[in-house]
Amino acid sequence: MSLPPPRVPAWLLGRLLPRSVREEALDEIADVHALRVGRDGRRPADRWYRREAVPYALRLRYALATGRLATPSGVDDGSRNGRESMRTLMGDVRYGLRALVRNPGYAMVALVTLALGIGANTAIFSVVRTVLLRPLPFEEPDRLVAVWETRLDRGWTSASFTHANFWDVRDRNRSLEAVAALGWERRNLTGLDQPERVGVAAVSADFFRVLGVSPVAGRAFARGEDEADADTRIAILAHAFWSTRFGADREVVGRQLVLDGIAHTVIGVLPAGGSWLQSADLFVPMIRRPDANRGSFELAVIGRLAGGFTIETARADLERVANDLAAEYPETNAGMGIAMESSARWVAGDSLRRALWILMGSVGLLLLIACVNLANLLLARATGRAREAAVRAALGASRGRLVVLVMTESLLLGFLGAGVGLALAASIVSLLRRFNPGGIPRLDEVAIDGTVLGFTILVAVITSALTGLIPALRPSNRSVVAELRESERSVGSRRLNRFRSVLVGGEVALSLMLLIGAGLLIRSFTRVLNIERGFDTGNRLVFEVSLPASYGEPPGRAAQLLDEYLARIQSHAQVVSAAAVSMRPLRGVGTGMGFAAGDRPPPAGDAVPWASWRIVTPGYFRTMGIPLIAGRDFSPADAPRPPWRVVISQRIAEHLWPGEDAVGRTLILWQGQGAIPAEIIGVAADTRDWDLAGGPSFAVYLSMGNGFSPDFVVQASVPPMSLLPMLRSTLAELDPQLPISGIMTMDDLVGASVASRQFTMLLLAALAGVALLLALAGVYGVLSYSVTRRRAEIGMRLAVGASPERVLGLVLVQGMRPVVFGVLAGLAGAFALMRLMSNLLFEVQAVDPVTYAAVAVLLLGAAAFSCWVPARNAMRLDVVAALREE
Amino acid sequence: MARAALGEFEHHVLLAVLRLGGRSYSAPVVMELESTTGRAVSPAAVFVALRRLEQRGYLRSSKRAPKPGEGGRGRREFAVTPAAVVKLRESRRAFERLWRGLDPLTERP
Repeated sequence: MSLPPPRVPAWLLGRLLPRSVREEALDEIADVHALRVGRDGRRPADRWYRREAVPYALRLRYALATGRLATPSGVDDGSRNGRESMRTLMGDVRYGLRALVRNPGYAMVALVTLALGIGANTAIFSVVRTVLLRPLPFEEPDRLVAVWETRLDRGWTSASFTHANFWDVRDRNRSLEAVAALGWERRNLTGLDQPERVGVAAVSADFFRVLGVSPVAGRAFARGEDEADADTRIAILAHAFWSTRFGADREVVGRQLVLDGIAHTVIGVLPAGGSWLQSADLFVPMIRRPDANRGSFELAVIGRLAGGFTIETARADLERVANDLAAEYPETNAGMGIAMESSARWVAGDSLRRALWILMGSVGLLLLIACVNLANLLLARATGRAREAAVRAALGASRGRLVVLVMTESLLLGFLGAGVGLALAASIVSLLRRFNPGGIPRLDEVAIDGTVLGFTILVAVITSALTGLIPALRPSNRSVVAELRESERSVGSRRLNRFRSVLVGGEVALSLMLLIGAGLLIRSFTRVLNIERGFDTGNRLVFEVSLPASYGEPPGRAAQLLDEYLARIQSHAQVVSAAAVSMRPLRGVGTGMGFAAGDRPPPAGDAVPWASWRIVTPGYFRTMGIPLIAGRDFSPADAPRPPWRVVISQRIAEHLWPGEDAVGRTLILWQGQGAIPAEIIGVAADTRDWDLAGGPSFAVYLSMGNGFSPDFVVQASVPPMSLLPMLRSTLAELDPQLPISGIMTMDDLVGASVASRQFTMLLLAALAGVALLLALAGVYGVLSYSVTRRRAEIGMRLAVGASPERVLGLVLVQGMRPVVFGVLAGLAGAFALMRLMSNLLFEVQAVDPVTYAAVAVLLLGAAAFSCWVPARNAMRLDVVAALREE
Repeated sequence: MARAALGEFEHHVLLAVLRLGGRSYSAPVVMELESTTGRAVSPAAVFVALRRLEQRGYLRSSKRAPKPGEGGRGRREFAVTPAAVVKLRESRRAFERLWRGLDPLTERP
């Protein structure tokens, strides 16, 4: 008595086995299982059975389909027709596979072509889907909006909110079910193992209600916990911070954390994911102060539309509030408006959206090129096999059979290409995720998912169907006799060759467009990098020392500490110069104030020019390499108290006092917000310290005050990172509780500020490079094939006295003709399309003639080279051998 | 067709049937091959090989009713034909001739 095999695999096997052998095959493998139970025991035998069942069925099916296993006679088989066609299909697949293996060069080129097209498409599509198409993981994301203040007269279309304006908008609007504000700061977290600088977001109590997010542990802020009398010493942990810092321990709720010396109680933990929820390590309540100001724009505001309101109708409601406020507080709010933006735009701003769509379009073009290339390859093969097809037709193969045969091969290629392409896409995505070179949001959510997989397979099937169809239809409309005769005489089918030339022209045109796009981005990038920045970066380091609020007591303690620290750093032998500044350059965000000349009446409220400001220590200009054009640097005597003294940028001097000396004159600071007069003691060269691609800004430098958390800039005589241990230990001597953070060389700072530009450029350049290779392969393939087919004709020409040079020229002209047409078409296409790219460009026109000409010349040269190889072969043709073939 | 050379696997299968007394069902052949060659053997390969060998005249098969306690509809039993024995001898002799004089080279102690 033997034990039966495991039930489920046995049942499955029964379904998988062909009916003609099912009974016998099931019995036999059950016998083997029974013998194994006797030899190895029950469990190993069952394991063996489970592992073996499916391959067993597939092998038997394969053996039946290929005829290695004859169908037992006398077995009733209702699926004879099905099996017959299955056998034919398997035969076709085997035939296709054999054909691919026999032509490894062709198969490799075709496979790589397809895999590149499909892989690049899948990778970029995965990113686009996550970043642009997938809704945010919040409740009803279409009702979420971002809210901005505007001052259109100053050119601000989306400014942060001031505290007082936010509270007023919250109280007076009727269109938002809930509205909340968020302000970022950094605080020192102590009481755990090491003092640490953490990102803290102060949010008004409704913040998580607006997003529709509930904590995974504990509670969110309750209504009213942002009122002036509420207890502020509570905090909610972000998910990532909770996981990394507290090992996702739920017991953390109720624990005390010390922020800037003040104990806070943890009341909740946020769920993972969601752009806002990752924006800080800790969330604390933002308290409504009676003295909240209207001059400092610092809050991000989000809202949830009330039922029945759209963005348009809500905007009208908020405009009403803004107008009321402008009437009540004309001094600060004149010209105020309010703008709203759907949450769909939160993740990716316009320039990233555009960059991604352009990349998507580019990989689409690349896939198109890949398809054209593949069609060309298959066409060449079809021509070569026309004779085989003719013989098959003569032997009675139907037109349908011939079409199926060729289609099978290209579908096979399509699926293999999809497989390899998918692997390629997965590695591209994992590379992108690892390095996130362009600062792309939500990249950690990007994965090759089911939809993307479906997309890939669709692309593969369409590609192969399209490419397979053209050659597959060919043999059908020609007479067998003509085909046989023609292939014998090697004249080559003209029509087909012309069609292939058109395809090559198309390929060249498409890749030229990609190359021009890449060329424009490369030129923009080098312009951004080489632009006059106004400051030096070599051997310079920036880092941040942050002082907790408790350093304000007693007054002067913070300033004393910073002075002492700076003095100790400066005395170090390898430090050339060191200084502190309220905000490092290229932060992308900044401070601002209105300004006016003190010696003439200020312009009317709306036209006040706006300048960024920085507070610096003496020596900042020297350390940053910013030349002083007139006047002097700050000295320790320029203490941060009246009378105020400032250094201004050259642009301010030229704007207010063109052609005159600005030093010694009076500048009104915070014009319209308090109007403080200050004496100008120096004029510094312009810098692009907001954003390299933006113009140099109006800039005002003030002398160092205390209570700021400054960035330090150090110029070293050695590689600057080597100074870090010294910088750390020097600080620890003064206060071991203070952390150093945000350490970067100035070169890296510049690099980081152009990272997303660089990412787009590199990706497009890589795509264009691949496109170029594919196009050249096409040019080469068509010409060399045509030369092979025309051996006899060329041999004849040589025999009757044509010089080899003439033959060379003849072939070159033939090869280059489609290229030239392609280049012309591509230039026209680029001319039409490149306007879409104009906002990704910097100081380069979308129709930049230099780029267009350079790319066209490059492409023509490369194409000429790929024509030259077959042309040279034609020239060196062995005349006798060629003619003998005739 | 029948005169074509035996494949290595077919060769093994025939020898295994002989070792099992010249007649056997499929499953014991699988086990015999595994224990003598020390390699995993695919039952599907044995299934196909037995039937191919029958087609080529090296095996004969007959069905017998299932024994009590045995599942299924009975087993197909394969028996080695005289043609197979001739073929096996032939190829053994060919191998022996080819091996002659090579043993000292390959069979190092």
